[in-house]
Amino acid sequence: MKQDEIERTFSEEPGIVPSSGFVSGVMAAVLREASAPPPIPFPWKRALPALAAGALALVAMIIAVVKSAGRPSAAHIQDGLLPVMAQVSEIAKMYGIGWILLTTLVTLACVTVSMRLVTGTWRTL
Amino acid sequence: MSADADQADVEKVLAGDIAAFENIVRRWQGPLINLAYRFCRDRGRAEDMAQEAFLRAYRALGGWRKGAAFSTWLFTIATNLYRSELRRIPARTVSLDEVSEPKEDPRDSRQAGVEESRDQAVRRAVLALPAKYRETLTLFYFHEQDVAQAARSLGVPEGTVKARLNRGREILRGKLPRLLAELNLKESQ
Repeated sequence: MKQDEIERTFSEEPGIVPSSGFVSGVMAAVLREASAPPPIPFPWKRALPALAAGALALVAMIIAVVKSAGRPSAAHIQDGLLPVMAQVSEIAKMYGIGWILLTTLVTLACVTVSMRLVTGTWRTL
Repeated sequence: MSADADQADVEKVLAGDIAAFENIVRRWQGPLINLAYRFCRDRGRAEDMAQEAFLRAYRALGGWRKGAAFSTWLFTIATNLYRSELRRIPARTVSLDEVSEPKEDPRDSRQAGVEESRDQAVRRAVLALPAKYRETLTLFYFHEQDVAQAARSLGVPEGTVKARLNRGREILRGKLPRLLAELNLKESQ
């Protein structure tokens, strides 16, 4: 087959003519879009203190873990990661880190879903 | 298609004159609907997809950089939309093995009829190609065989477009041996 055959088939393909109401349909949709209230912006100002508090809590937890674990020694390395993990778990329980993480994740999921629904990008996921 | 006219209309729309968007729609309705039709082969659906593409372009109008051609920007939006829509609800296709040969006997039918059947068979075969080859072939020929434009619309490097074109043509050649033999027969006559 000559490559030209495919090219000819496509090049000579007759186009379709838009229906008479197409432009008015698009413009009606555009006007609806324009008259709709703008999407609610994410409240960064309100969320910032909570985000900062979360970051501080994370830093505090890391510092606490490092302090309680002490300086790394050969013995710690020999013992492996298990004791460190146990300490992390204990501190996490003490500060309720698990709940903080869970609520943060739920909040993020809620915000993501809401924003996608509002901006209409849900279908493209 | 005038790039200056596009730019002027975009500026008007951004300044609050929404009615100026109608000029853009009038100018580009044909290309966008025809591109959609080549993706889905369904007139009604093509118009629906083109309308959604215009709506998305309207929403994103502020993001168009004047350094880039408006048409390229518009086609990229439309192409991304058409591709995602067809992944969501695929066009009605047949498998490549089921693509029928022209029903008419070319020896008995008129030349025009034979050519029409051949074109239909090739188009149906293209529609049955895997998506990445089908989209590349469709865009390449829609953009009048401009690899660079097809690459920009698809958001892939030009080399990828060339490779997909070659592979797509290979598949077409491999899956339509009877059609090709028939074509060769016609060419030798």
